[in-house]
Amino acid sequence: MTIQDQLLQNCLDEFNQGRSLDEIIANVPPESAGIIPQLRLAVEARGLPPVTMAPEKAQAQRAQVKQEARRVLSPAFLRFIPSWAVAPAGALAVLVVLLIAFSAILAKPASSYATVMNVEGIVEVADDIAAPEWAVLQDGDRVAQGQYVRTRFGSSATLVFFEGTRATLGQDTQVGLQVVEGSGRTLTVELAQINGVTEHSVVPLHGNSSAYIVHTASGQASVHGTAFTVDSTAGATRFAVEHGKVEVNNAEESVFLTAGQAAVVLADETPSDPTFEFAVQGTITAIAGDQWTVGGLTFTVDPALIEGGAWAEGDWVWVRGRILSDGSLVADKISYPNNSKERSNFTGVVESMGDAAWVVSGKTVAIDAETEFDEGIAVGDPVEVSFTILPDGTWLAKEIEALEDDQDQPVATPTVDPAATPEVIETPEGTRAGCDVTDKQHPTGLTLSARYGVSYEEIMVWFCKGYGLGEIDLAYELSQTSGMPVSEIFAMRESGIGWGNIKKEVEKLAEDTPSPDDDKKQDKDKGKDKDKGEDDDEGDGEDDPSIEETPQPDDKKNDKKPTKTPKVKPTKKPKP
Amino acid sequence: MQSTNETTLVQLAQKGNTNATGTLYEMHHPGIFQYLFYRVGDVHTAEELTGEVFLKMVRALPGYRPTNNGTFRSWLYTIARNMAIDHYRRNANRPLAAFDDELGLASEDAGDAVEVKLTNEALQEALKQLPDIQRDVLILRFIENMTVEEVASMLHKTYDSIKSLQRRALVVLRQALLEQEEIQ
Repeated sequence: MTIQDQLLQNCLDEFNQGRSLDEIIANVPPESAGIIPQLRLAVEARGLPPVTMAPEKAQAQRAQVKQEARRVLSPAFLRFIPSWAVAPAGALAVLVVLLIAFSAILAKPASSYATVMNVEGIVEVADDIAAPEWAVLQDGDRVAQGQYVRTRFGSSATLVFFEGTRATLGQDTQVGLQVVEGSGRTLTVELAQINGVTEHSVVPLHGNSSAYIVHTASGQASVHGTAFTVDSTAGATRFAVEHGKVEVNNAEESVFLTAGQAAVVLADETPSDPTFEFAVQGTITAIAGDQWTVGGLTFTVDPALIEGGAWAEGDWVWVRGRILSDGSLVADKISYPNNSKERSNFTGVVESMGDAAWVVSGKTVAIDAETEFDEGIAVGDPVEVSFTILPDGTWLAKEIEALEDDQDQPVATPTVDPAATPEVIETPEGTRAGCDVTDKQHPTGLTLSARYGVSYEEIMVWFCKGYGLGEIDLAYELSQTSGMPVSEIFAMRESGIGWGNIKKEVEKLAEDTPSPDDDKKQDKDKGKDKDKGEDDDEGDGEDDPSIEETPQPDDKKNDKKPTKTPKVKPTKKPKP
Repeated sequence: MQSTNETTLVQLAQKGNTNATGTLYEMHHPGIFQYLFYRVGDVHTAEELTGEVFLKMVRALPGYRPTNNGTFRSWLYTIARNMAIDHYRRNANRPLAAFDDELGLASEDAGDAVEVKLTNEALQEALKQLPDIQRDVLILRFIENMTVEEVASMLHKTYDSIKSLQRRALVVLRQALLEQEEIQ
């Protein structure tokens, strides 16, 4: 946004407050006089006479809308038994209409929705982004056009569209399915990504009407058969392409990304030039101003693009960034690793291929007998190099993959098997804050602690017991809305009840529970207090300062109240 | 801000009160029609789509929930906007934007001194020359008198982004109006 944009808005605000246009214009600084024609035009547009619909047309529409409301919104028995239907001929007509309607429904191609697969943690759906109630999704559920899907912390899911195109939602991601239409060999999908990370695998689209577009607050990507990632935060979006070609644009400009390239788009700014990218997983070994070193790789960190900022030396992280034209590295995203498969790698174009080393986009990587190559790679091909850094600083290639191999292109899969086995997501590797390493606090644990007004330790007890952060988030949310102790909610889960059914049960309980003013509730509360007092009397560690009231993850289903337990040392261990 | 009266009407309509549904139509159809008129550039299509917007509203009412960010009005406009997009897609007659941002900004200073004459018809024709997003911002901000916040929420843009878009759209609109006058 420019100063002129803001000045114009200020002038419009003044006009709305009743100041005359001439007075406002007289106060515009001479150097900003360029906005005056726009201001005049805006005011003129506001003063135009309204364009109205013909009254008879509006009258007819009003009647039609009311009729539809009677059909859709009236109680069921009124809706389906109109008065004239009591006559045999009428009844027959109703039957015929119903048969035609059902036939139409059955004949309609099942293509205005996506099927949810590979659900991990808590994934929910709602008709409105700000809806107070969200329903928990399971594998095989459908999400229709117009609905929104969100994943909680530590959660993920894949939306499978017609013909096998897939969008995978990472943790803490919200996406709206603005348009989902598929029939024959055409598919139109428009997603509104509110925040989070999505990975897309788009089968080659057919027909002029086919399109696959991901909108974000700062830019959008449109593609025709490719695989790419969109990582969106409040003010910036990072687009990265694995295969094919993606057009990234916003109101300012368009850029095209090809295989291995990435670009960052800040709101209202020109997208960054396409560059090749790098990724590294490892321990932060040094932070010197904006120069960080992770796993032997030193890069520049732009504070505007790094969320959180609570990282410290010793943290095990996953870093993604861009390789600028001068060879320097800039980090775009630093996060906890999702799984151990995220190896250190970079992309580029092969410039030379020697026996002992290759040069890829100016970077020399050593080759040894264990380095694996895709067949047919030639100078000029875009590749992804997975590598390790040797003690002397040399980059040793572990694997070099071609990025434009047709065999790796997404393949159309016309049918979806809802019972397909979900992919196994490996537990993050490395040292995780919060469990074994208690001197570093997990940022999401801190977020949930603040959100629900409970101690960080309490959150981490559940986390280190093995619950996902999304599950903990939902359990505390349900506990707050229903009054049910969070230990009971986790006990329901441990007994094998799915989160969708737990949510329904707890919400039903909350509806059935009398209000706090109700005498019965007061009696019940008194009983609870009494029970609590008795427990206190029995507790051996009442005066022990090391003992505090925390949830007990080992509570069994029938153990309905929180118990006092010693502070537990978290036991969750990272996989080696 | 959504009025209590409108909130009550929506709740009644959700419970099957057809008179409340009819009143919602009366309250909002002029604005929706006007938005669609400028959006699709044709009276008959705008009339037809207005009817469809309210039929869709009725079908979606059971799932509608008031939110902090968006009003019932902005929800209706979102339906209308989707209808317009669908219309273009079905009929493949989307008006092509004749001006891109660069053209618009490049000539920003050229005609500053020249006054343009604005009429409903001229505006309707000139809007056809704008990219969809700019057309939406102009109609919602200056014809439907929505706030920057409302438009930002509807179009999934930031507050600052709408302020940029509205100025850029006014520059491009003015250029389109000037060119229209030259032709005539």
